[in-house]
Amino acid sequence: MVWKSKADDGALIAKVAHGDAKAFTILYRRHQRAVYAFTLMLSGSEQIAADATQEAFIEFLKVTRRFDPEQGSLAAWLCGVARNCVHRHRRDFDAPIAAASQLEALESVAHESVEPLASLERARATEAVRRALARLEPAYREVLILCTLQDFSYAQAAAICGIDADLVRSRLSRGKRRLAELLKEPSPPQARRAA
Amino acid sequence: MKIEKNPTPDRDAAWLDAGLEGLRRQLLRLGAPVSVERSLLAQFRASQMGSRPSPVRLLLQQFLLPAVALGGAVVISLSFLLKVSTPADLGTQTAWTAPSMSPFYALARGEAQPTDADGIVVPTEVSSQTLQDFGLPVDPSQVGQPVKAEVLVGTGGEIIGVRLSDERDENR
Repeated sequence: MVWKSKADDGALIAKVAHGDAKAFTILYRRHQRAVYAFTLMLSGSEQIAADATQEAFIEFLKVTRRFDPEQGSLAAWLCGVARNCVHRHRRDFDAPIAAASQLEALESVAHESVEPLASLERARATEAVRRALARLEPAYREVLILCTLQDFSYAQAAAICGIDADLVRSRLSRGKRRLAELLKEPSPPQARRAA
Repeated sequence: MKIEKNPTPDRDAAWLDAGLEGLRRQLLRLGAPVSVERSLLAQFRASQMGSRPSPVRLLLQQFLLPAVALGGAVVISLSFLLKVSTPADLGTQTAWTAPSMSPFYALARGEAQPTDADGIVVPTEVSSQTLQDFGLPVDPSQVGQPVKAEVLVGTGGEIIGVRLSDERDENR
């Protein structure tokens, strides 16, 4: 779930601006999952995702007093900063990424369902989509992650990616079609790429 | 057990949707390493230590600094005159050099308790309400009245501590 409530964040942001460490901890825990997940799926690297998440919150601390939640959600702002961090970390941003191995460990949970066959099929579908997503062009991948996997609105995704909402819609539509095509193609051997 | 994929558009769409939904659920269980939170909190706390003055310091600087500046100027002038005109054995008898019974309260968060040796002690008066608002102890009998206090002015001119004056200091 992406926390998008401005009213909820506004009071905490004001407290953080006055040096309230507890308020910062609450804000961090509220938003870190979305930022980390986005950057992990974007970069394919746990190290880059961790660095980008940390940098995003450090940048937030620098601008806390000036941050106005009425102008946009904190979650979207953090993801935008983190996205730029990923760009800086990955010199060859357009190259295919490693499908995040951290997600492989989570697949084991799927096999504990009372319906093992359905569970297995879901797990296979998830794995196939994860690998195909890693091969998708970054411009399509990021809007798919934001809008389809993380519930950001078109406007928020546009702000994060630095494009307009119409282009988000367009890339989302094309991205899904491209993803479907990749699902039909045989998946290349999974290779670990340096972060 | 081999699961065969029937290549129909509906099946493909369902396969894609199932995969996306599965991925959504996985992302909800993801989180940054705990080390990231620890590092951020450490940086946050370090940035708060001494970088921003405490409310007590801000308020006392706002309301007392003019009085302190005047009092300090008077003190310095008088001490100079006293040293020039009085015998040496009487030159150190001033109220502001004799320690009071109560300790100085440090005005900056995290700083050690200051002592007389850390600066110049300047007598002044503060409203009891001001002291109470910032957690300093006030004699209940002095509520609503101005309270005699001493501020410690550091070498850079900043106020680094405040203490309540002992009544006996008045007579020195």
